[in-house]
Amino acid sequence: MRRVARSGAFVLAILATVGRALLCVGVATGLLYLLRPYVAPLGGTLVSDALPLDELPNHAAIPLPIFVAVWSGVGLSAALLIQPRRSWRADVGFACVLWLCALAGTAASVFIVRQESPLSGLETALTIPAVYIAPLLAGLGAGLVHIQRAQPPRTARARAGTPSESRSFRRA
Amino acid sequence: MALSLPRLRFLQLLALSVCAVGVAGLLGYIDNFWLYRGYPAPREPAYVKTRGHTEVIRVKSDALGGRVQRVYVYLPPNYDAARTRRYPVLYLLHGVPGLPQVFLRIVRAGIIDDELVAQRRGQPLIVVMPSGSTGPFTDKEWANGAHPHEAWETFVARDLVRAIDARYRTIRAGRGRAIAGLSEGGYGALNISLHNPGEFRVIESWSGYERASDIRSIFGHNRSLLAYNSPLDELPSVAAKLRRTHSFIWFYSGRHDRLRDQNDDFAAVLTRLHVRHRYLVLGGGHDWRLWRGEAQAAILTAERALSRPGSA
Repeated sequence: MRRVARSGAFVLAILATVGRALLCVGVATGLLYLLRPYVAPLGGTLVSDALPLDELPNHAAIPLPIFVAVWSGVGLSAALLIQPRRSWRADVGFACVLWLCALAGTAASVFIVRQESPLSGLETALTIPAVYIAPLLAGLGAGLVHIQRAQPPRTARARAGTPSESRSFRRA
Repeated sequence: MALSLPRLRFLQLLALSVCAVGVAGLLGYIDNFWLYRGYPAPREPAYVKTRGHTEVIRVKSDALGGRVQRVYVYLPPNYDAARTRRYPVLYLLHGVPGLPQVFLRIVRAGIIDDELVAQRRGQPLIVVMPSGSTGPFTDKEWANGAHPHEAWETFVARDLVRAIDARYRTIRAGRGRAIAGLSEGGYGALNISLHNPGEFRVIESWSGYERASDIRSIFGHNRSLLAYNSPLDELPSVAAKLRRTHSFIWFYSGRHDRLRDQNDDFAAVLTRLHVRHRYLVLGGGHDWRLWRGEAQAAILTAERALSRPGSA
């Protein structure tokens, strides 16, 4: 019974991670799309193909600071809303799933925009730096929440008592 | 520093707001791509004082078993005012996946028509954009398929031309008609006009192809049907008629387009058979940047090669 519950929880955790990754890709892309007209004139270092569907009118690039702020902020926001497991392993797993989602999304966009074959779309997507930088930033953002949550709130600690006190209570 | 519960709730609310804004942005991003392929919505330049307008009509086709197809018709500036004037017609065939509206939204065909008239560089045209399939993702190749009620070529060459000539003040002859299309539509324009020589004076293929795709649902793997629907194979048998009717073929391909070889071969055969044509190899691939960028040249070519408007 306990094994069934544990595997059920594992499946739920995977689904939550996939959901969180998809949410991150969607939200970050949407925010970058909304911000692009205002931040494009800033210039500086640009992250190319950050908005791959807008490649035709040359609107795909985003200034690096904005890209960093949006992706890490979205990773942090998603971790605040959905946090299936509070461990660094969960954050790494999340970053990996996010990379797959970003890769699939970019490959599909390249395939649609450039009218290439799906395979060459995937090959092109593998060479786009944004596909790698984005999950790294979102993973770091999620990690920040994990660090914060690793320490339980002071009130909760007071209620639970010290570890030695708890052990002695159980023995009695 | 650990987070207190109220602070956590506040941050979660903030995160939720960020996500909501992001999702709204995502919907806008997808919508803008679907409608305009990322380009801004088309707007007439300030110097265009008189604008044309679009009508959506429904054409019943016997070739399609009585099916009613939606057709977008762009009427040039002053069409309603000049009641005795007859106009040449440009038929535009979309690709797959595709809709007829893409010519208005992305290629800006109507705006280009207005601009050329305002600049006095071309003559006003009626632009006709039919829907060439049963849905945006359904492939019909603008060809007469192997199955009954799938005669898309006849729909364009006979039913649509008749319907447009009956409804609008057109020049009712091949010298007043041009047919063009992009990608699959370019193939369709060539295929239809080669099967109906003289029906269209100007034939344009924008990144089209000249060998029929062996699609079972359309051609049923029928080799003779595939050959008949391959302009490269069909051209020698109709070249004399094309010369006689003064047909002009204008087509281009992107330098990196995987279909370029077929266009190179087609240009070589046209040269060998002395059919009037112009072939351009342009920088780019098989995408909207090329089609949008070359639209003005394509429409201007049709406007200049077609008969000047006369009185009704």
